[in-house]
Amino acid sequence: MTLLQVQDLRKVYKSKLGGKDVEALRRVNFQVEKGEFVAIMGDSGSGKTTLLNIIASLDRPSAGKVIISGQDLTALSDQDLTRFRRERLGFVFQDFKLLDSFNLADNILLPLVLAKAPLKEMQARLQFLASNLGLQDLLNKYPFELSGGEKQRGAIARALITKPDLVLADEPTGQLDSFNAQEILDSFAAIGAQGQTILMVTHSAKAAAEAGRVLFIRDGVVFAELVRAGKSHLEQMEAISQLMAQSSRRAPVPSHAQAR
Amino acid sequence: MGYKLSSKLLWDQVKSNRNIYLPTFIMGSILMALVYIIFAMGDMIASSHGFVGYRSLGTVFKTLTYVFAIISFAVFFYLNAFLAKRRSLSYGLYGVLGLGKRDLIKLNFLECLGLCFSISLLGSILGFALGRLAFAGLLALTHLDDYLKISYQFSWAALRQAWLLFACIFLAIFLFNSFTILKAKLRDLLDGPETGEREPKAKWLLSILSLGLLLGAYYLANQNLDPIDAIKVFFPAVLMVIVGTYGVFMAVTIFLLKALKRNKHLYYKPRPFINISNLLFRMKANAAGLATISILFTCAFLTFSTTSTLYWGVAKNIEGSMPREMVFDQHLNLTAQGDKSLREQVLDRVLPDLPSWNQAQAAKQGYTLQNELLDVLYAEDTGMVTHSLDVAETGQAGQTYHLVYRYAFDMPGLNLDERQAYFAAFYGEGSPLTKLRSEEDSASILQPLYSNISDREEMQQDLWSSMGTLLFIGLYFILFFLLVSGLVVYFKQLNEAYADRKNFVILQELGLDQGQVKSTIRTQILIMFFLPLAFSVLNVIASYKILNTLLQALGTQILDGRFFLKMSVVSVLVFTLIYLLIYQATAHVYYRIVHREAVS
Repeated sequence: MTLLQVQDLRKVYKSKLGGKDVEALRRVNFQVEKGEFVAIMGDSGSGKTTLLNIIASLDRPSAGKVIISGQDLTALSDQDLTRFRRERLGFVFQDFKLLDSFNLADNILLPLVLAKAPLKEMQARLQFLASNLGLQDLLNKYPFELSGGEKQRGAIARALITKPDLVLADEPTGQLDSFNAQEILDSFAAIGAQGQTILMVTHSAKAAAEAGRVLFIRDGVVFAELVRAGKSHLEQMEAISQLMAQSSRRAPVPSHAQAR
Repeated sequence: MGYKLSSKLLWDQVKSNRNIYLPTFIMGSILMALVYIIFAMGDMIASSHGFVGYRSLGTVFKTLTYVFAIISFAVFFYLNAFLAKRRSLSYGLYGVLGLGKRDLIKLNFLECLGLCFSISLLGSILGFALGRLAFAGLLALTHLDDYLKISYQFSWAALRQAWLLFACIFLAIFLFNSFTILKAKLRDLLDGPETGEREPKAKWLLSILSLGLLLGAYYLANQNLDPIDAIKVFFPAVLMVIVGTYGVFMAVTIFLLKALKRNKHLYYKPRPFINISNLLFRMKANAAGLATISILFTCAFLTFSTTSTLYWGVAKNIEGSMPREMVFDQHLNLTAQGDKSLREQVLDRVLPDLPSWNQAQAAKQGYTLQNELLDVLYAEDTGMVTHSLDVAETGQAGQTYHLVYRYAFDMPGLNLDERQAYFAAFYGEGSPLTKLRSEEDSASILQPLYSNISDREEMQQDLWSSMGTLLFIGLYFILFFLLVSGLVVYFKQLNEAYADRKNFVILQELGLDQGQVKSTIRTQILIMFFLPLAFSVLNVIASYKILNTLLQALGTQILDGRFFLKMSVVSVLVFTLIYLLIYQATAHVYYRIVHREAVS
């Protein structure tokens, strides 16, 4: 079943005082099936963050549609969009974005609190996720007492607590050293194996290689796709690197040309 | 760095922080206007002629000018501290871009100069406009317009003094800032301090102690007290309330918040979840400030209600204590004889021919004599006249009483000077008084003490002047204080908005909708603004009884007993209203800072 559909997505940032408009996304089309772990790869300025923000309902497209679980996001009001985001999506950010005035337990519970879930359900979900992600002993600690890896695992727990349709991750290993980064990627692989649909944006080939499918984006257009199939992690990484090297040899596509 | 670049940078800095600079500018100008007015009034009154009693009014104002000067210093340094936080972020950036410390100091100099100049300008205009109003207010309250033959004149000398004061203040601030810049490390300017704090711990001992002190003070103040005991109780009670208030804000609030947090059914709902956690962290930093504001509020309310009650009760109701325009009192010690009433004894022995002599005098000078009154009154050992003697009172035989023989009358159509001149004859040749003094009563039943004459109009004016001045100063301080406290809370909330911005954005991204953002902010600011206010209202209520007793003792019993109550209520309502306006503005600004669209 198709969980996410991105149709003819376009985003233009209008400049305020003269100067050129910036076309961050030109025409993006793709689909994500339920249970898939998909990575979007691209350099800075490729439009990947803009794409993620629009799918995450944090921003609205200039044209095109985003359909999640059959719901067209562009048809929702701001209020409904916020509710949708709260109830159906989960986020993992590069800089963790944990609130420093709450301990880890409360940070993880936050989306459920905002959704006004019953207390018992909250506590049950917390215990489940905490044990899954190895966070039981850290629940009473405050963010400043935790390492980057521990914080990000907490953020993953927070993303999962509402049993979201889709988990969106923006460079989740960006601020982590290689050991913690591997831990996080292992967590993602694990929840992906349990059937969670994940969309991860990254510029790290290593992270992207964890996913079942990689979409490549450049200058606001998805120009290639690499399915992992039976490849090992290392093989996938090599394939990704090759593709990136090849594409960088091609001339850049000027902004007024439309990718058909 | 050239002048053009620095002024551009400065303008940019001001524009992006106009939330802070604008209130500073307005407040600073109002402060300067207030300072100028005090200076000007002091000069005017001190150099006035006409009313002998009121040169001391000038002294009072002169003292006030020093007080205001010191307060101005304090206020501006405080404002500077708020500005410094935002300033350091800008300066950090400039430092990274290549500006050295010298350049930063130059920039700061420009800033201080600009502020000083603009504040002085608007302040002078305000002072000019409001000075006349303030002066008219003072004259109206003290009824001195009949006596002080001066009209309001704009005083350049006072303005220059105000300018000088503010120039000194800003110079001091500039030097302080320069020192800070020289000492600072670039890293710190950019990052700012890391708030890596745990939740504050509940302080049991302090909570119980402070609650105990507070409730103890309330209990003490609400017993049935007579005036002497009231005075004995008052100052310890005040001390207990002050210490208790600090303790309550610092400990009991945290205690309550933690208790609320433990109630999971209450805590794990969107608004309590965010507010309680936020408040717990905020309380630690803000407790002392909020307690101070609460105490100062209490002072402001009480000052207003007591000074206005004194003014209306004492000054306006002089007829109670002085039934006639002109009063002659002869104090004496009388040993009771037991057979006759004290009253009879006095009237028999003391100045029996005074009335007839007076009538003759009046007729001689062609004045109308009316409403003559003879009375005998009790007096305390201090000489304070208390009340009339009962007709039947005989007293204890052999006991000596301090009594007062009072002869009072009206003489319509005369002014103060003429009455003074008329009364002078009482101490001149041929007056019955001389006979009284030279006579010795061999039985030592009667011993004359001293006498005095009172002119009701003079007394009235005296009271009006003193109570009126008190009221005026009280109002002045209250107005000033209200502005400062509103500003302080506004700035505190602003700082918190900037600190909370990051968190609020995360919350909004995680699904907190705009309506929830607004209501969360409202709750937080509401508590910050109105907790001190509520506390001080509590103090006002608790102190009502004891203050009423004290005021009654000072002579306001003539008044409708509810007057003090009414004034207390009025002051609370007016303050709350003004505070509400400031609160509204703050909530609006807070939301704008924290709103996701503004940041993204």
